[in-house]
Amino acid sequence: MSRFDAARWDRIVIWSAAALAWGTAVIATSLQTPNAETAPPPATVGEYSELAPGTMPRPTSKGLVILRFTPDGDERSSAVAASAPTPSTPTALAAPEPASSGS
Amino acid sequence: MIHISFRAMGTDVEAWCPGVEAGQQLRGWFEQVEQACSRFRYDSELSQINRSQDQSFALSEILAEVTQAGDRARDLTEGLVDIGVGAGVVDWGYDRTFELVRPLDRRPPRNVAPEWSIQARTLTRSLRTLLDLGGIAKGWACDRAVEQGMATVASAGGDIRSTDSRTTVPIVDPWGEIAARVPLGVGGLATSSIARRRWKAGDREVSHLIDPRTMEPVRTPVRSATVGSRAAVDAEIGAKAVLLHGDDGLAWATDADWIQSAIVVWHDGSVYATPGTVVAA
Repeated sequence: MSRFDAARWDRIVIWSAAALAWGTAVIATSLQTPNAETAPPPATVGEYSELAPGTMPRPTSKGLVILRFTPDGDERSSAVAASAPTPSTPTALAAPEPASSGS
Repeated sequence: MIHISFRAMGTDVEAWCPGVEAGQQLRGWFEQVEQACSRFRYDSELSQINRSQDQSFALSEILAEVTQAGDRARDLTEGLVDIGVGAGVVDWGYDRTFELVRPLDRRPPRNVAPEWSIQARTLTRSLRTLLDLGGIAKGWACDRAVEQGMATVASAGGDIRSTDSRTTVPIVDPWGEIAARVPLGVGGLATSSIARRRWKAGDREVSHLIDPRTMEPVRTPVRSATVGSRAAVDAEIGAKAVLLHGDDGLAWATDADWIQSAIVVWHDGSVYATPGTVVAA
């Protein structure tokens, strides 16, 4: 003879389902929130309209060296127009260090 | 040894010179090169040629040597780096110093492919071919300055030639951060970028780098490319080619035996290099 009648079994099932749904919702929310907080602002159309799609360079026959990796979607949002400061005092003469940023 | 910096050829020049006299000589040298090679000086030798309706010209020694370097660029890159794209540069709006460039209302019609040759000091070109010596002239000027003893290290807009084994070069990405530090030592290094000189042309945002295959501003996932080679002018040629090759740039550079190392800043900010590239801590 069961210790629980049918109505009590119904309540157990209903509350278990509710607890499971609540737990799932909490976990889903906790997974989504950090992404939303860390997602960078979308790139402006104007800035990237010239850039052809491509996830990374085609590897060479000898491989590829990754010096810095920024995953897709972590696009940089703005570029600076000025080059980095270059040494301008005689104290830099110990070791020449001209910057190279392109022109 | 002194360190000097000044503006010439539309960019920042800096150099480490054996003394004051060598520094003055260096300034005079860059003035001479600019007077021969500038697109933006009305009375420069190059501007006079580009305006002329003639098709054959006897060049000065400086302009002939820089044009020969351009001829070599075309050979080394199978036509990808071509100093004859000047008409494309002008048609897309870069017909004055960059500070004065204004947006275009619409895209210009497609231009014809460059057609030019040089034999000794004689230049021959089609009427629609204009020369743009740009970075080639800067790299070449640095090479000659160092080879003639005016400087141990000379840099023009990031095109660098060094005979000082201690020289280290910070590669600055388009966001102003250091992407890598290269222990250059003795040799040449150059960075070419599409991130800094940009403007609107119709519905496109364009850069100053014209692809001779299309005669339009290049479309590439590479933001900037840095190449190390034996001389600054070779490095400049390599950097432009890597940008123009786009996805295949580093693979192409690996197979080019005159390129020692190549580093690219990808459009998402990632930084990649060819195998064997040495970077400082």
